[in-house]
Amino acid sequence: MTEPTNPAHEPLRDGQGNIIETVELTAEEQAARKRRARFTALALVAFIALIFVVTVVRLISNVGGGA
Amino acid sequence: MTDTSAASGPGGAETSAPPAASSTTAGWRDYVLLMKPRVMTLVVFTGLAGYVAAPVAINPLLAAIAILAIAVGAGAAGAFNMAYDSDIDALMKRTRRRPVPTGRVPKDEAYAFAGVMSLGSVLLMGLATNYVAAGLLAFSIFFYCVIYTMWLKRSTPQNIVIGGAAGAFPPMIGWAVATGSVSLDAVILFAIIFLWTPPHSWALALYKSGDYQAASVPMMPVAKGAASTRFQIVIYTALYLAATVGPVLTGLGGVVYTIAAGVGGALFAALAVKVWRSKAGDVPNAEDELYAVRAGDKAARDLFAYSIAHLSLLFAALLVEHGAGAHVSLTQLIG
Repeated sequence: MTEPTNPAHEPLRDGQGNIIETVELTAEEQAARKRRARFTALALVAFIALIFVVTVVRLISNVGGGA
Repeated sequence: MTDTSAASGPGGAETSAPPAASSTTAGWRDYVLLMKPRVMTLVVFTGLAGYVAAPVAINPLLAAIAILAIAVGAGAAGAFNMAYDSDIDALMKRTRRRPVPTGRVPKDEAYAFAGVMSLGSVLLMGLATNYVAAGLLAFSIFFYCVIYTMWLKRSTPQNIVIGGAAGAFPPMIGWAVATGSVSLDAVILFAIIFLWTPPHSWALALYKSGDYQAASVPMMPVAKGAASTRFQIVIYTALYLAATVGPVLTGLGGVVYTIAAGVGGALFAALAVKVWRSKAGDVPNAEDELYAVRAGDKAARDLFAYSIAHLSLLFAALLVEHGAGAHVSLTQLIG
């Protein structure tokens, strides 16, 4: 499900000039894709934040334990 | 972390809710459904109980992250199961409205979702706690996805007996989160859920056998008949109730736990005997709703519903005793 990238809706062509078949997304599908992309980004940020928190907490406890 | 898609699997029963929307594109609810939230709830609860019952504690924030990792791991396994079983889910009334068989979530996407979450949960568990807990989590996901879903479920009526191990891991993982090891008490908690799974799952299978028959899943009532299943429910109930005595003997379970195991266990036994004497499952049936049954199947439905309550009660008792400082062992009481 790739969206045509040229705004004029000219058919995409490969190096030999052959038309590349593409899929036109409906408005609903585009909205769904945008939602998924946002959620994936949020999940990624949340995961990174969790790793950061784990690192800091373990670092503090290790430093505290070593002191 | 087990399934109940065809087998009311190890770890509790689960059913699919109505589609999130009439649209064919997936909404966030579809991804939540993909993770089998009902199964996940029981997994988190028993995992938390295992952690709280352990004799030592870790930083509460790390413990919370570990429980989150258990939940995500369970969700990942559930998503894999839904993707792999979408063909048979589509044939069963109880599961046909799930996100993958309806096409709202493409199968490949469900696999990717499961894979990423599996890796993330195990990685998070390893970083936040220890490698024993992370290893157990990874193994439980593997066991559920490969041993149970891909191998046992469609090949043997012992599917949920052996596969029940996957759903029995969470309290052991919770214990390992706290202690970094596995002790006798952790093994007993594992055994309780492992032996609870057959009577729980077969009770459901008795009144949903039509569904399993339609999907050619060799659940016990389909493969060996309802009478044999009812008898085996009684046998496994006896083994389960024997296992529930374990924590009393080791001192892990105190007075509250003992009462829950004793009184609750007596009712469990009575319901199992009632199923044995009933005609439940004699006529294949497959109502749409999880708890909907015909008159002859009520005993099985009652045991199925009560089994969830009893297991929850046992682990709630451990949570209360160890989490709220209400643990008084029988030897302390007598002495």
